[in-house]
Amino acid sequence: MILDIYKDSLEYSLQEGKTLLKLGVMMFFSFLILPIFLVLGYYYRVLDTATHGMINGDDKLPKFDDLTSMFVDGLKVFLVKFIYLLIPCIIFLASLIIGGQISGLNNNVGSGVMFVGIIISIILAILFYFLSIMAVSNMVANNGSIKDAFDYKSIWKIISNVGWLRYIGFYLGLIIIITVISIIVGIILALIWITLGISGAFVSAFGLNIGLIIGLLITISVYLFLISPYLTIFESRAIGLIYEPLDGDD
Amino acid sequence: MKTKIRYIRQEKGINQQELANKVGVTRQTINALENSRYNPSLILAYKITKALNCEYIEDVFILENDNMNDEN
Repeated sequence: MILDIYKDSLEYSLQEGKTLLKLGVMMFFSFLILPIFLVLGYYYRVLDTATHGMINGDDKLPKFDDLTSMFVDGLKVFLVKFIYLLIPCIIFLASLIIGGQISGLNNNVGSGVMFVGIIISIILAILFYFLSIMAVSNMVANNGSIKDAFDYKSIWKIISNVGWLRYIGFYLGLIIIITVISIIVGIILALIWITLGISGAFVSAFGLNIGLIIGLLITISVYLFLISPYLTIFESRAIGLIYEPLDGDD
Repeated sequence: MKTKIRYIRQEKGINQQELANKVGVTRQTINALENSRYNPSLILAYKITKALNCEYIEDVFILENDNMNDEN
């Protein structure tokens, strides 16, 4: 079924070029901070469609409208992820501070406390990262109720139903697919860039190699306006499809 | 696509894992099918139908009108 989820998500994200471009524009303006929440809001909508949708079904890409509600949804996603990752960050900082203070009295003990604290915070960061993914899905599946994003008992049960190993393996698979797509597109774009540059077909009267500049612009544009939004939709769709509502147990 | 898998399975006293083992899929796949979250291949639909001792795929799987309209 996991392969079906990947296949469905790869196809689903290709439905509409216009939506990819709109999301790409939002990603481009993310340095202004506020559009980040619109990107996260769209991530929320894709998740919403997926958690209520069907693998190999005919779900459509969500519309890019009602920006206010999209912004609020994005804010919720951000808030949930932020709170989840806050706990390992606090432990990390606390171990540095406490370890530093103990080091003043006993260097070996202080370093030991720091080391153990850092290891614990790394393990917790990984654990909370996986929990946060399912927490957002659980929130989205329950009509955006933030309370459900922190219903640890249900979230733990949902992941256990999927199977922790299966869930982590699924996510690693997602990372591999995203990396492979990025590398393949990168190689193709690099070839175009090099060809345009080396051919010298676009060398200006001042000796400036415009081909290289055009190639660079094409590379950035394709990545920013097509590949990044495509991979964002792909990831959120797949995450939404692996989610299993609790009421479907034996 | 809706299914009667849960109903038939419970009637026959089989749990999700047992049915999954019979047709060679994971329990999660059966769960997804029962919750109308997975559109199965024809082969899987056939295997499930046989595993539940039903005669026709239509006895287990319900093709909704929307799906049929899409095909036209």
